[in-house]
Amino acid sequence: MTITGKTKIFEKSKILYKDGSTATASSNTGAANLILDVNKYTAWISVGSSDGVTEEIIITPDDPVTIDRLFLTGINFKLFNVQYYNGGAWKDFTTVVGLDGALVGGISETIYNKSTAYYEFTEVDADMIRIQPTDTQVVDAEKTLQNCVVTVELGTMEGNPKFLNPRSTNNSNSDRMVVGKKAIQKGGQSFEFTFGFENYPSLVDYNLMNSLFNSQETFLVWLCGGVYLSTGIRIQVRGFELSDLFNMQTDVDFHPRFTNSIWVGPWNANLRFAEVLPS
Amino acid sequence: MTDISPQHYQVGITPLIDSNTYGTEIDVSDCVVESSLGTINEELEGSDFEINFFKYGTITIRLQNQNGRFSDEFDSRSMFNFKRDQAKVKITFYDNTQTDTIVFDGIVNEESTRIDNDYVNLFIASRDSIIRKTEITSGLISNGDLFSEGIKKILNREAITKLFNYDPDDVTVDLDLTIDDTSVFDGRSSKGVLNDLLTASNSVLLIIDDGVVVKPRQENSGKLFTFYVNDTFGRDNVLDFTNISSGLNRAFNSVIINNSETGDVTFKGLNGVREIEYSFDFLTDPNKIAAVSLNIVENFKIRKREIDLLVRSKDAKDISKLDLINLNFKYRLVPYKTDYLPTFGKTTFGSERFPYEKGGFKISPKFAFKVIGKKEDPKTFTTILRLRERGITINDGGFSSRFGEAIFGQSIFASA
Repeated sequence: MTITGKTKIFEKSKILYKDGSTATASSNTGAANLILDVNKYTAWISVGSSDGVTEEIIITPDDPVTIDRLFLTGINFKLFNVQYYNGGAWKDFTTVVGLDGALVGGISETIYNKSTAYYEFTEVDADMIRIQPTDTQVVDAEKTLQNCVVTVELGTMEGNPKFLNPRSTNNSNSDRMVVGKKAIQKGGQSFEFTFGFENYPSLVDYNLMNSLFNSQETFLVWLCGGVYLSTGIRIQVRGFELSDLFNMQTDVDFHPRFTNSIWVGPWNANLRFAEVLPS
Repeated sequence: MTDISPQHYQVGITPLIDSNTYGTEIDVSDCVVESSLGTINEELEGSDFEINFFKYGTITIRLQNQNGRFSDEFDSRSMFNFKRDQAKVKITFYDNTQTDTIVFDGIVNEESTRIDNDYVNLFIASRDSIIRKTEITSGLISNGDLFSEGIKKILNREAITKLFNYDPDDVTVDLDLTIDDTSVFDGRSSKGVLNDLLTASNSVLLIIDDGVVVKPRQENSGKLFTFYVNDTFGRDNVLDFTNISSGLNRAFNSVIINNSETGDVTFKGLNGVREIEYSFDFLTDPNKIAAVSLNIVENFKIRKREIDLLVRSKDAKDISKLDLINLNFKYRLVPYKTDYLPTFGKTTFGSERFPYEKGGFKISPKFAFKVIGKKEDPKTFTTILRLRERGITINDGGFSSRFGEAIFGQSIFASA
């Protein structure tokens, strides 16, 4: 397990509400299921909480899930912990690595200062997930959690392919009206991009791309790979922010070509990815 | 990741080995030109301004025939040893989990089948098309037989029962009156006579699990399918929705049978005269004619919204005609100058703004729709579901009252 700043690919979240998972919370429980949706405009926000008051959010998957990665997005937690229920007791995750390095004693933070949290840990089978935030980054603010994703990593890319044709679209309709001005109606947002592999040496990445191309299920793409600020990425453009975890599928055909020969030559290909609803 | 197979279609042909016996089904998918697999169409109604009660589906498939395998029975190489006409053809859809669903079950129609050099364009009609080929013989139906009895006699014949399971208990009609003059049926195609009887009785003919079923037009019970648009939990399963109509195209407030008119004055005033005419020579009693007319008026005088849904075939594969559909079409919500949408129980009234509501159309989930048509496109793995709001009155288009959606003024609070 390592956070290298190379793009990471994961299975789709194993705790989606649409797949039967549910969540409850110690306050504002009616909004708890919103942390299991696919809408970036919804979030669970505590009611009547303050620093020192520990809220509790419990997520129950439809069936026990096997996981080794966890995301929390849209958080303002400063002091919090996350545990899993193994069928008998609440347990700490082990061999945990977060965005700032290795953690001791499971997923437990005391001075967290980012809005996205990501953790890698030894694989576990979880009947439930429990998130317990106590303090917020702004003192005594209501606690906020936009989304929780638990999953299994499919792979971390070895190299840095070209990032081609990124496209963030509002799917807008544009009409010129009788008055001469345009009227633009913005629709739902989506994100697409192409990986360009040019004289690319990594066969690990080739196998990963091949498996994604063959996959009938959607998968999660995390372009920044856990790197934030300017470490490893010269410009943190749209699509490369920590919170940019996209549910995607490959959009067109995959045509690898080999320089010189298939036996020894590096490979060349483009593979386009498009944001989709998880399925 | 789970190893999931790609979705695909399979075509199987079962030839006749004698006039009433079928052989074994043979998978011929390898010989079917993919681009020829056209849309598979099933409808209860026809186009706008029609009420059709019996309309069979058709499809044409193009088969490679350089080896003569699909030639007619006069070619010794052909798989059709007895005859090619009326061979069974089945098209099966396999989804990503390899679960199979029969999407079309028909028989070869020789008169429309064509040879094109090394190809055969096989014209296939759904199995109920056999009804068109059978004749009403004199004496089959008797004067004084009820509509349902006449329908049973038409269906309970070998030419039809060799293709379908028939059970008289599966024939029920909405309006059941006696037939006055059956001589007008003699020599006619069974399809025409059946259509007349179904129309007069306000019933439909369906093929369900290899059995022929006649039933009133009410939606099926026991199954409910839900389709979402702009669902916050990502359950969206609608690719597109089109042809939204108020239903006026299929609202009739005046019915003329044998030059005698019955209508609803109120709805003629509301929507203008909307007339449909039939000729039922088998009815001579004016009271019966009036009863049939009135029943059609009562069932069709209220306009009911219709909509075409474009969905993935894997989401529509278990949906049959007259199944009940729940549409949960919301506006897309975008927060007003904040990160998140206001939520009940958290947001303070008077301090936060309502979000932007975007979208030109929404449907409340309290309204129920029934399927009146399916058009499946194997090339794109998509299906168009034609839906019509359920019911026949102004107030019966919704589901029965349930918490949070009870209709004020209609639903009654439960009492201890």
